[in-house]
Amino acid sequence: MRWRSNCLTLLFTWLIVGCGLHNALADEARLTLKNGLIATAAYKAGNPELPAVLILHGFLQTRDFPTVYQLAGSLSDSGYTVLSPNLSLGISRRNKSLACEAIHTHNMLDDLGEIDNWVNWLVSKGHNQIVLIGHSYGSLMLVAYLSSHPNPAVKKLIAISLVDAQIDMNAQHLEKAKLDLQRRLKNHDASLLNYPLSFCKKYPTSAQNYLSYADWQQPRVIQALSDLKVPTTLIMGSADTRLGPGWLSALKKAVPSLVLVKGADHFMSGEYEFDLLDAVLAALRTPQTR
Amino acid sequence: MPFPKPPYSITQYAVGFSIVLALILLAISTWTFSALNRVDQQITATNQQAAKTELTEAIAEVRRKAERNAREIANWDETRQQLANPVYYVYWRTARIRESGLISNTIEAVELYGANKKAISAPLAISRMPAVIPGQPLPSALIKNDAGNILFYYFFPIYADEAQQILLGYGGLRMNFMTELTRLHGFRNIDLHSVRLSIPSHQYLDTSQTFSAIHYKPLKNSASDALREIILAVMLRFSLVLIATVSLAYWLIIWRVARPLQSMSRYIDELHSGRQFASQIVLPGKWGVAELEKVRISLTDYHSRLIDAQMNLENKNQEFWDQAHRDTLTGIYNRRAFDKDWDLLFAPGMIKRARSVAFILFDCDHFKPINDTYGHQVGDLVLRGIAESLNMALRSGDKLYRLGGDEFATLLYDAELTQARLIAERCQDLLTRRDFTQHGVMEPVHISIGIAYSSDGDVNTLGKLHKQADIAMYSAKRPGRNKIAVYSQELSTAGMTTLVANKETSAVFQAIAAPHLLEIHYQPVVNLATHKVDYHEALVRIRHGEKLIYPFEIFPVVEARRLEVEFDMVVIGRVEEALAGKLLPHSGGVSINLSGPSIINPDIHARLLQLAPHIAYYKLVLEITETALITQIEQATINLNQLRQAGFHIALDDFGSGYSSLGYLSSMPVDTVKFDISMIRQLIGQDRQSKVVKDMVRMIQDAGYQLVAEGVETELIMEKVSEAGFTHAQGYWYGRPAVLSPIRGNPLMST
Repeated sequence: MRWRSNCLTLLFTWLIVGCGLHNALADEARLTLKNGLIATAAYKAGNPELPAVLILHGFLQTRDFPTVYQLAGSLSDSGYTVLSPNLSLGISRRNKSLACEAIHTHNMLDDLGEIDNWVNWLVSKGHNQIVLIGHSYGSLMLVAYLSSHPNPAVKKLIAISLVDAQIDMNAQHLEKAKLDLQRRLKNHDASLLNYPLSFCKKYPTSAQNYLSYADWQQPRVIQALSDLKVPTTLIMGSADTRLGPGWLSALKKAVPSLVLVKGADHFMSGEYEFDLLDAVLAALRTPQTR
Repeated sequence: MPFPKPPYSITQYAVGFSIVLALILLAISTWTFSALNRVDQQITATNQQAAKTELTEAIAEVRRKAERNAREIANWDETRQQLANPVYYVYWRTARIRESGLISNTIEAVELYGANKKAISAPLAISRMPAVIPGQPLPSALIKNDAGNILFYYFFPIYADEAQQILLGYGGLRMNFMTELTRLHGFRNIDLHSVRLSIPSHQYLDTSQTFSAIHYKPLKNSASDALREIILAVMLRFSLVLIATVSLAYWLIIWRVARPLQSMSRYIDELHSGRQFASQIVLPGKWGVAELEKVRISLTDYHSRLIDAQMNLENKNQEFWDQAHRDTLTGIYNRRAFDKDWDLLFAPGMIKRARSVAFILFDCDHFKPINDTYGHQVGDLVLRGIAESLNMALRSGDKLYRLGGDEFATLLYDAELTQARLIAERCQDLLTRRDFTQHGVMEPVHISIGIAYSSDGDVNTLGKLHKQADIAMYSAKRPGRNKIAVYSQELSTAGMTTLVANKETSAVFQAIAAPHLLEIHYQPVVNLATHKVDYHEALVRIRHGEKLIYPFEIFPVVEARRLEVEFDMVVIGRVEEALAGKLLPHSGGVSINLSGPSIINPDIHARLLQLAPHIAYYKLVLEITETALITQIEQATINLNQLRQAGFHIALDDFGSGYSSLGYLSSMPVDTVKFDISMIRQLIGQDRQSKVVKDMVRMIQDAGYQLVAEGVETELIMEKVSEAGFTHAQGYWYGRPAVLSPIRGNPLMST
């Protein structure tokens, strides 16, 4: 409930403040994916001297999610070329957040491929200094992307409110579920089942698709972070209740450049958006070294 | 001039008023019903229009709802997801779209179709979604009749882009039309239960054409229905109250006004029809109408007064009638009353009723001499006495009429002839018993009675009764006859009809007018001492053609017609002719019969005195009857004495047929007494009567009178007469009456 309240607050703020920013990202970029779907992204070219920024939304959200949208606008206003795609999640021209209960035909590989397409799209636009910024689950996907699709044009990763797959199961159930998933994978069982994923209690998808996300739990994320070749900045809120126990400290261990915004929640809403912006700008200005 | 139409009765007015009121009520009801129907029709039309509008709006609302839902579906990412990858379409169709809350719960089925309009997955039968989108173009709203259920379909395109340039496929949704109508719209003008779709099952119809196939009933306007009910209820109550009021008014009018008026009307009708005592006017005792009571009292009061006035009038009428029909002198019915009753006798019905009728005619004998002798006042008293006596003798209810002068009559209905005769005799008896001397009348008053009788009811017979009674009465009046005579055919043939027959009457009048028709037959009167003819009695005959009319026929007519003076004047003239012509023998004489009226008549008296010169040559005798002399004895005495002084002899004729009073005789100025034949015949016997006659002859002779015996027809009588002492004799033994020429040749005359 608290999460929903925060979302409403963000949405309200976006309605009041963010309308002006929307025009800055009025251009829509489209990509026809290999499965025929069309993926879109808001694109605003900025100062070519500055790195292009690809900002990826969170779990089942769109680029219009307030945290992402405001940040994109602010960065654009700051002169950065900003590309804010909507992951299609199996839906052509998707422009609305996808409900937990929606049929999820997409999987992590599809998502990563889409990210890669957009990175390449930026490259094709002449941007060879690309900074990937993700929020929440978007940050996880960017970690996964960078783990599996290293691209020389990507110079930096700024992961905001990074989370793992967040499977809400105890260890016993998790093991049992893993066994079931393995069996289904083995049996090529594509039937829809409701799985817990992130904040979704019921996430209807196939076992294969589910595992593509569920496999990115805390150890694998930490490991991936540790293995990343690009400089990574983590911006986390000190009041982020969505984080699992020990997650923040684990991140601190894995990524030394972790910026903790005191008092901020998972969405960096309210006055913390400025802190977020300051932190992002600061990270952008930081030399890309790893 | 047409007869005016009689006015209507109050009952008719009441009934008419009720009918008019009923008609007005009917007209108002009809008008109200008509107006209500018009309003109803207008409301129905309005309802129809409102229902159509409502249904149109409802369909539009359903369509809008479908469009809203369709828009949600079309714009939903997951819809496009299914069109792109329908791996989990069945789940999406059955579960996901429901739990998403995207569409209304009343959307019963959703289906996605490819760009080729074919369902991306075979629709479930239960969804009643078509496998292929029917109709063109899209979007389209269709309805379908599915086993009585009206299904609403909305098919719409789904685009990949907001500019709707990239068509991904189509969506379709289905709703239950009636459920939607029920949920969407609070219908006020349509009876939803009446909505029917008249298209074949499985045929889709575009909603734009719905009204050609959809049927429904507009809801009745409850307000107007309630208003109509109220108006009808008010009208019904008003009508009932009005009917009750009219009935009460009708009852009041009929029982309180009409009945009394009808009672009054009947009362007046009964009065009008002549009922003197009409039935009572009935008025209601309680709750009556004061004015009617006043009218009733006035009416009965006026009626009482009217009865009084009528009684007075009737009394007056009776007086007038009496005055008109009563004889003022005697108080009995007069000639007018007789004529009326006589006419009534011939009235229809009366003849049959009076099958036997006796007509009795009364006539006073010698009334005129009595009247002349004693004066009119005494004559009136005699007439009153006669009337009273006759009236007393009649039966109760018999009417006595005074026909004129001394003539009376009565009609006896349903009386036998014997009874009529008895009544006549009673009349005679009562009159005989009556004392007229109180009025100074010394002579007896006699009446002659003629009776005619009819028992067959024949009109002709009845018509002759008066004449027959006349004949009978004159028959009775003849000297020596019974004073009561009943008409018979014999009387008629005996010549009595001459009294009344025109032929004999005219002969008398003709003789008076033409004296030569009067023949004088002379019969000798012989002196018994000398046995020579002393003189001749002049006896009158009337020559009527070849027939001679004799005195018994002549004198009833003369007396009836009061022609005594005129007739005697002619006789005197005829005798004078004989005297002047010296037709009578020398030393003879002649006797002339004089009637009673003639004795006292100055003209006759003077005429007789003119004959006085003949006395020197002839003996002139005047014969008068006892009755004629008595009635006016004083004047008669004077006249006769004067004639005696002039040389006339006076002979008292028919002595013995009347009173034969010796007392009277002594006072009479007569020289000779002629014994009636009835007394002469008594001489034949040896009885007391004969002796009386003989004694009377002797006494009269001793008194110095000459005596003449009439009716000497045989030698025996001649001898008796001579023995008795008569001085003269007259009769067939000595000679029959004959005209003058035979007289000369008569052997007795020469004797």
